[in-house]
Amino acid sequence: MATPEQRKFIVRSENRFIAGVCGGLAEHLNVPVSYVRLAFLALSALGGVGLLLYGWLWVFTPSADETQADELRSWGAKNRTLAEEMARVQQGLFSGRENAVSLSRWRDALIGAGLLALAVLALGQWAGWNFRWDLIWPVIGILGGILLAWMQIDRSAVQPDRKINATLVIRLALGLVLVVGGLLAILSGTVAVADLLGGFWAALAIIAGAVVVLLPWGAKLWRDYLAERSNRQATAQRAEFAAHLHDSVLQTLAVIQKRSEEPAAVRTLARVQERELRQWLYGEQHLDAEDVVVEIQNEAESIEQLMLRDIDVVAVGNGQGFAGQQALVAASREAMMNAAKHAEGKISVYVECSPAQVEVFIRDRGAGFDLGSIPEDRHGVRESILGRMERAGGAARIRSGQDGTEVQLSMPRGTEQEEQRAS
Amino acid sequence: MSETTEQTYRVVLVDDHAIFRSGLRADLAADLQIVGEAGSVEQAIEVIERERPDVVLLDVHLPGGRGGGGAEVLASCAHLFSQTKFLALSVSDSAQDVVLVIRSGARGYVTKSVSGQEISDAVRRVAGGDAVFSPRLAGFVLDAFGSSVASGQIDEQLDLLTDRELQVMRLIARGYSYKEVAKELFISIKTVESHVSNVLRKLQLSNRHELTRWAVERKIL
Repeated sequence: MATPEQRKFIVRSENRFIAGVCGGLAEHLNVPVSYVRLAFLALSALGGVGLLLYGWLWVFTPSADETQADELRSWGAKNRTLAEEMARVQQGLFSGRENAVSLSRWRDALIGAGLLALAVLALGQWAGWNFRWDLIWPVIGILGGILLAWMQIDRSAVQPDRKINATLVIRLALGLVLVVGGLLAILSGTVAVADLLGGFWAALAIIAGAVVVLLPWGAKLWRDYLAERSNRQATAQRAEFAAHLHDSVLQTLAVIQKRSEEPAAVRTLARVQERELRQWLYGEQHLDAEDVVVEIQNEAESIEQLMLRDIDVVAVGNGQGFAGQQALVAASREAMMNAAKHAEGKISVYVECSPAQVEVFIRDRGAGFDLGSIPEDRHGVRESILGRMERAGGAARIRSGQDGTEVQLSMPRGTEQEEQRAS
Repeated sequence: MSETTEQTYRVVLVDDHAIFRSGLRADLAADLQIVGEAGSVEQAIEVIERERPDVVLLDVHLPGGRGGGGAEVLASCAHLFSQTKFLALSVSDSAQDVVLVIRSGARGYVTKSVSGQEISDAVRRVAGGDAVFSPRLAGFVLDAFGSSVASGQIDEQLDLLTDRELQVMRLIARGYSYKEVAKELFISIKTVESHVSNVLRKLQLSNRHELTRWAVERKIL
């Protein structure tokens, strides 16, 4: 699969120190991360070009989380089974992707504004205005520290139950140091250092007190919020189920009550409804509508409705797009139709897709028949099953005895292109 | 039906739908004596512990307990397996349900839509120590064990089906009864039964990575 080395799009990687730009670029260029980081440092030392480039890439490349969220979103457009829904709710995927999206928008705006301000300042300096750089640098430090700390929200919100890891703590601490350092640097211009230190301890004590008092409240609020959110999701799901049950099941039940004198009709209605509901709840939605398994299942279903018979379809593997697929499905339909018309009892269909071929077995419990005794002018079996399979490059065999009849179909599985090349 | 009809089996019915239980009660053959019924995980465990039946007809989806349904009952009754056999019943024949209960220790699996006659046969078969494979379960087994790609850590005893076992599974998936499988392969019914039991054991014990991956894909594990 990985034979043609495909260049990845730049995606800010999980392996990150600040925002994952270097990691993503390294993956994209296929060079070690440390080289990229060194290059950025060197560029930053050369008049801050590296910083600007970093900021620019930060804003314009998606993070790995966001890309994942995008995938989830497109995946979300497809019909999910009940089990998948439940699993998703448990994993909190909903919350993850919502947070990732809202936060990234936020951050983009913030960084854009910051860069703009920096550019204006640089322009002003160049134009000869006199700035108090001794004030501006601390402010930049504070803003950077805040940003660094807030960035971690992004990460912890995506994986709410992941353990707090060391890098997260380091980044938070770094952010805090930057902010406090910047504040101190600004204040040191007006307040004596000794006073500052005293004030620092006082502030620390006040903060500690406030945290102790407010922590339980905060935790409770957070828990309430989580409970509320999962409630909302559950309600939405219930509404969806109710709508579906009303559309299909209740309608069918009403029809069944009306037609209760006709056992065959009631049985078919129940069977069709059961199939539909089962498909909806546990359906094999990992298969394409074009898949041979799905096509044969659909044929079986339509014959069930038409002939008021039960057909059990068991499938192993799946496959699509091979040359004889249409012929195979049509022959299978014909065989199922024959079984439904002529045989009593259960009809079993088994589809097996191996890499080399697709086989279909249609089994009934009828009295059986002798292939030789069918008149030449009757087209059913000879034309629609045997002839059709042979023309498409497959094979059909019919075994009939007192235990019933089994039609065995097999079709080699070359792709359309291969067939054309071969002929 | 079979030669052993003289023996009566004691059966416990576990299903949360009273309507279904009464229907099944009426449908089951006379030699199957229903000694208890239960409608939830707790009731089921209590009744099974008290009655020690030969066979438990166990619904896969059951309320109560820790929400584990039939698999939870199986886990709690694992110490009775030598005496009491479990036959799983379900309206759904989704892969999740089947594999979960089989791997939890059920000796077979039938869907609720099959006739009373078929369920009765399945109960006798399970009581006699054999496994009951529906065509669909055979299909799942072939799906999970089918790929012949050998990987490094394959335990030959558990992770591979023999050719004969594969043949038997394919015939069952095609809708053949045990008797018809025996006739087709020129072997005795007893041999077919032992092949099926072996496959069941492998299905329960194998940690073949395909099985795990397949289960993960379908959100079972």
